[in-house]
Amino acid sequence: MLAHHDRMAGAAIFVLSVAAFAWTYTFPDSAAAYARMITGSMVVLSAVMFGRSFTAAERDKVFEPLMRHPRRFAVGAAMTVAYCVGCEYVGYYTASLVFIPTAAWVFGLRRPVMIAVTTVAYCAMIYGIFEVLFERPLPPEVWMAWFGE
Amino acid sequence: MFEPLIHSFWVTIQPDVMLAITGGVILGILFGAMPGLTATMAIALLIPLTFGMQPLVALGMLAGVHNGASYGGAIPAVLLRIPGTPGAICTTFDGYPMSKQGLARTALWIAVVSSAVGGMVSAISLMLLSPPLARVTLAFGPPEIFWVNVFGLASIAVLLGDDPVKGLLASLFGLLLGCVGIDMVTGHERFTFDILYLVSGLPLLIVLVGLYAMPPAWEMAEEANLTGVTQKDLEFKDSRGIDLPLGELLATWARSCVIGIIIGILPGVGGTAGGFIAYNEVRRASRDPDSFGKGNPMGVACAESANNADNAAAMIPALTLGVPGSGLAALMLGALLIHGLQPGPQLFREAPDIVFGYMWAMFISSGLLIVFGGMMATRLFAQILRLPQVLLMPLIIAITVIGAYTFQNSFFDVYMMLLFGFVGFLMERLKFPIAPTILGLVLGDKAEFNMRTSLLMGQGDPAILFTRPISQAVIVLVVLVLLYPVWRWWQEKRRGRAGEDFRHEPPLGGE
Repeated sequence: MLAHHDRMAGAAIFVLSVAAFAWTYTFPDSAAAYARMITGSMVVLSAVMFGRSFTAAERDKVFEPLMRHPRRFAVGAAMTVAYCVGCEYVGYYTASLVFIPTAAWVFGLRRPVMIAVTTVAYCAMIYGIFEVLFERPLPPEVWMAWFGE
Repeated sequence: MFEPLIHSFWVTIQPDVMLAITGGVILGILFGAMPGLTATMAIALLIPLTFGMQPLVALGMLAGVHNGASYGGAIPAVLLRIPGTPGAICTTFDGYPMSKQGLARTALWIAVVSSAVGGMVSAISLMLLSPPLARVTLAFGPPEIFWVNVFGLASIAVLLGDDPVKGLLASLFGLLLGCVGIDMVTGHERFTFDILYLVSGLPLLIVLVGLYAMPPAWEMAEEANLTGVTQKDLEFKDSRGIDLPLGELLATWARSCVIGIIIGILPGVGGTAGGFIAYNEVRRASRDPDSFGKGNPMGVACAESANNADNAAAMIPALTLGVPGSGLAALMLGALLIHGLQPGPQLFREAPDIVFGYMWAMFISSGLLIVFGGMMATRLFAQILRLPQVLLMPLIIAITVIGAYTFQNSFFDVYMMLLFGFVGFLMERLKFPIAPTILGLVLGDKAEFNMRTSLLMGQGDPAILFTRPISQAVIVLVVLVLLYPVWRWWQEKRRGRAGEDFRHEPPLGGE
């Protein structure tokens, strides 16, 4: 129920805005004025958002759920976080060569040739654009260090 | 005025810029053709890639993507009744029925030529209207600029989404993000959590990529769509010929372009609204209004020309006042800042080749649509529809991560981008518009600088913000924009529908 989500979001924003508003009292006056204006307005608007979720018109509304498929979202998000960590510790290409096919497979795609061709083509494209064309360093591959590079 | 315009033309047709424009158009069409991938997302993904480029090369590429994606949305709209971009919704009304009648080829031809016409007319309006408007803004001092910034934020916040409270909260969130870092006057740290990385403020690019590019990828993970379309869905051969009355087509383009340009200029209103208004207007003026929605070629022509006429026109207030006409223009404003270009009259004085070159890039990329959106190419672009979304999802994430990393070769940026990805996902699901947040971040320190300079000018007296005539005029506009939802609610109440759908009627604009 989106109305409930609105109520929760309104409450959460209200609490965070009050905290940010209070934080501005640790700033010098001239640095605080503008930040206080913003956070103060957020406090008022979030209170409005919270309060109106109790009105008759809002209370009875039925809306789409916040997550359509919570499990799939959780898996997708967790894989994204793991991929970012992987890029940092094992290198961009290695992490991508694992992440792209794994994600496609986990979400149900069973076309190995298409997955393999797409993954390799993507890595080649990234190499061409970032390393050859723009000469931008990418996160280094961990196995390169094993060979002393 | 014409000298820098002509000079910048020669700069724009240099091979590197032309290559960037061409690449941008191709990428834009590909993105637009794929439902779920929008022009906004394409630009958000490509900005990091353009970071090392010369500003005009980068802006040329983004101009190509902007126009390319606006047309690309028509391909699935005609073939599958799925608008590839929000702007292509009206194209489905007559494009798909034409396709069902065996006229897909004709519908796509009308779509591409109408897109090109709309885009070129819009670029000409940008060239003609921006310089005089920029000269007018020379009369603006810090108090006026402060109120113009407030006006931009208020209009995007109130008019773009369907809930003014959420729009304003999104704007304020952007302004708050803009406060993070060292205060430029006192040197005091604000909202940095004692994290060294945050001392210099949140990088616009990282916030922008996180908010715009990550949520659609996770949405694809949620949907887990395994199949692309089949080859049979992409049949192009027309079963019969059709006579297109050129006079009627020209009149339709003229009417739709004017509507698209006006809608594009109005801050916060640009986006999908132009197509809808033009469609209704052309249908109303037609001798056969009942044929609309059943495969009338003029329905496709007006939707596509108005949709593309919005593109460059939305940049008129963005380049001159820093107030974007649409969510996409807000993103382009961010791209300008990332390349070190400050919108406003000084932009026309200090970097005429870049600003006029950008206008030429908008014009040229619209023309290139006819080349790359031709039948052969459209047939190729449509093939991207065969790629399953579960395979696109990891590709988008991988390219987003590398874009964030290469910005400063820092993984802190990547994790920060990830955090904003989650924030963006929640904002989308809770129906908070994202463009006001980006605009808040873009305009935040400008608004603060002008407010504080005004107070210094007034020796601490805030009255200076309210007493100058131009400021007062802009304040009236701000009040009108803020009162617009109240007026809309009152109108609804008068019609006896108050409380039913005031907050859920379609917004004026769209991202």
